[in-house]
Amino acid sequence: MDIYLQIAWNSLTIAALIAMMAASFTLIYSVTRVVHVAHGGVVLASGYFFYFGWTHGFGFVGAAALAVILAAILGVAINALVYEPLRRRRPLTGTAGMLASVAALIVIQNLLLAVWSSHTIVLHTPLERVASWAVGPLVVTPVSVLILSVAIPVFVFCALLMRFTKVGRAMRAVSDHEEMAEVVGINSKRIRMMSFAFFSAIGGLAGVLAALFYNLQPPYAVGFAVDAFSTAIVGGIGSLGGTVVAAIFINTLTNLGGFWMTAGIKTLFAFVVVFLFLLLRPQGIFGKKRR
Amino acid sequence: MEAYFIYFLTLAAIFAIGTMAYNVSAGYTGLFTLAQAGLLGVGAYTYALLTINLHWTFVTALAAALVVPAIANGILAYASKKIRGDAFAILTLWFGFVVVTLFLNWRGATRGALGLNGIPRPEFLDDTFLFLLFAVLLTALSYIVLRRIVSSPFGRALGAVRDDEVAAVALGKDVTRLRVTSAVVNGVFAGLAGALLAMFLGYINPTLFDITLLVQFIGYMVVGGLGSLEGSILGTVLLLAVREAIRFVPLDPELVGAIREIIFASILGLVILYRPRGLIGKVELE
Amino acid sequence: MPCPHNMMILSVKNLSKAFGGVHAVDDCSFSVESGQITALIGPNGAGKTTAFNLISGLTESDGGTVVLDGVDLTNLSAHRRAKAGLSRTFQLVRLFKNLMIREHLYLATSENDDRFLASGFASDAGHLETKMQETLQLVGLDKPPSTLALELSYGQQKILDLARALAKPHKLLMLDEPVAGINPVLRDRFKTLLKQLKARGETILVIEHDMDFVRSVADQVIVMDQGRVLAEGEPEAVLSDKRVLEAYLGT
Repeated sequence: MDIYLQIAWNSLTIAALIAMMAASFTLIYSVTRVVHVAHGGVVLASGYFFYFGWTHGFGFVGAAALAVILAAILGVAINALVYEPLRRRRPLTGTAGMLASVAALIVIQNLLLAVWSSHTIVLHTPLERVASWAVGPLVVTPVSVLILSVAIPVFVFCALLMRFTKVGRAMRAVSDHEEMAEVVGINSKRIRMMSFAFFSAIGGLAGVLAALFYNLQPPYAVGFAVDAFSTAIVGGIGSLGGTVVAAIFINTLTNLGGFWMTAGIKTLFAFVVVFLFLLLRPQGIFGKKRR
Repeated sequence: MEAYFIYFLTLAAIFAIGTMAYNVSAGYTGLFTLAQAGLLGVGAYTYALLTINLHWTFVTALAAALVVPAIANGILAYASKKIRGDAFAILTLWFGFVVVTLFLNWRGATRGALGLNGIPRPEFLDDTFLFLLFAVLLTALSYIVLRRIVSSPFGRALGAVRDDEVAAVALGKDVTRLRVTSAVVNGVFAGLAGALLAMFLGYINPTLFDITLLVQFIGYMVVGGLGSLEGSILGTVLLLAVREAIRFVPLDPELVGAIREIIFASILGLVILYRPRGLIGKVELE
Repeated sequence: MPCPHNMMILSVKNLSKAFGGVHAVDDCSFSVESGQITALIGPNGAGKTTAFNLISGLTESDGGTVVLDGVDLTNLSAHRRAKAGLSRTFQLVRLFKNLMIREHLYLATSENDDRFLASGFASDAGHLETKMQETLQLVGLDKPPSTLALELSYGQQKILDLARALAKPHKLLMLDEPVAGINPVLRDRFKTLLKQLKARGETILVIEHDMDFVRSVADQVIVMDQGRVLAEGEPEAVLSDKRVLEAYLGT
């Protein structure tokens, strides 16, 4: 029983982390219709920015703030350099945007490689000196507490933002029907930019937490991208709640599978399960059914 | 220096097969799978595992290397019946990632990150020049076969699916069947390229087939031009030459590698933005 | 394709489709007599194109049956319905923009080209070229057959759309607003063409807004409003029916 509890806690922690990456990815897609695969690169880059800040005297919170801000800027830059120019030439209906995004991901990953080398970077922060707590049979690490205490407010904040603020409503309008939104006076280009800024920042936050939870290596950019979009596709593209549920579902599935399967097979197992699930329900858990 | 040219041309020939196969699926049918590198990986590992671990002969292992990726890609393409456009592309990208992870972790069979050494090739191909001839011959054969297919009534129907699926359905075409078949064709030739690669290098490891290789194929295909097999060959040779040329820059190898990928991805990005038809493509990238 | 007169080639019964809460097509029933030109008219949003989509199978219906020449199409997928004898055009022209005129018509007339083993290595049959020339002559498309669809003007695209639908083997031709947005000269040509087709024994179901066109071409008119059939009959009778006029004015 104890081990299941531990697994559940760990799964929840990782699910929260992945859900942040996936939610920011899916909301970008929802508003801008771009499959922003490069988001994985933004998330990882944020971890490196945090490392840079931390090792250059910014302090813990300062470094985190720096990382999040730079992540937002990076997201906006990618939009301005890649997606907006693409949009000007043709409607972003096909795979051109996604292919360009994959190219951007490669560029980011290799820039990180060029600057920080392929050396695995482990972050040493005061967090390490805080001992883990024993909560009953559970071993709770400070990092996992940090992750959950950041993730939950972030989701709540996102949900509130989308529902109750002017910006959020504008984002939803652009998401539902861009032309109509323009007609009622919404500057969709500006809304897209703001979406990239805000959701890249969230991804950046996830990147900082990931850096603390794991470590830093350039290939993680692809891993984060895969985590983000695979979770998003199961949850239903554009659905915040769906992403959270999907993250928990996929993660628990993989971890339980890990019990009696080797690591390689369990990834394949998760993929096959999702594949079959999507054949039955292509819109994901909470996605809208397209006509 | 001559040895290097033989190496370059052999690699170009092998990759060209993979690019042409990719074009049949993406450029001619509009099925933008992002699993291409994964398909080559499956072909390569099928060949390698069967010859090394199970001691199959060259011919039977090669045959298997053509069949396994074909089936995998066919199954993936079947999903396009229910899962559309962006979601489908994501699914195939994920598949590519799963393939690499599977090979990394299945240490018992694949030795994981250590890779597989000593992949055999038939004795008469031990000479590098003969192997080059063999590879070029297979590239030429692949070109002839694929050319025949895309110029046939079947190939024409693929174009209809790409250009307007609804209109194709209204003409009575079984669109899912067309997509699946095109994916199977892609899988066969991607498997061939993978097996040849394994034989050629003699050594493979899982990261050889990661997203970096995928971007290469996207680049070769898009720059050469969608909807043109000749473009795929041209694009492969030209861009591979660019990649190889960068290798000679006298800097730290890891840095050079990073620079090479950045330049390559940037070229791809620029072509997508400003020349979606590529060099000699018949179709523009949407 | 000549058919015996007074036979109902298409029979639609209780066809329904709701999108969200909106009943686009609501318990709709009508028949199309073979050898005639039947016009399907109605105000915007009446459900005409949806009805077309339901009949051709592009949209899944919530209920009802569709029978073509004695064959129940209701449970068949869209491409099978096309194979069973439906041929249609679309309101917004759907051409294969990277393909040539010739390829459009070859595609229409080829069978089994979606089967790899049958046609993956084959060459085109000789008779396809002749059939193509005939069709192009009939519709009056004056461009070289190697022209790509994307190089055609809007009017020429409409003609090609029609040519393609004609070339495809069919029992019923369904045209969705064939003369929308084209110049008067071309519109007249289409009028003449449709009458010629009828004389050859074609059965045509056409959605149109141009009342002049409808009056001069149609033998039967079906009026739809809010997803239901409002009136049916000969053009003059239907077009002066009070209910029909109200429906149009009401929108």
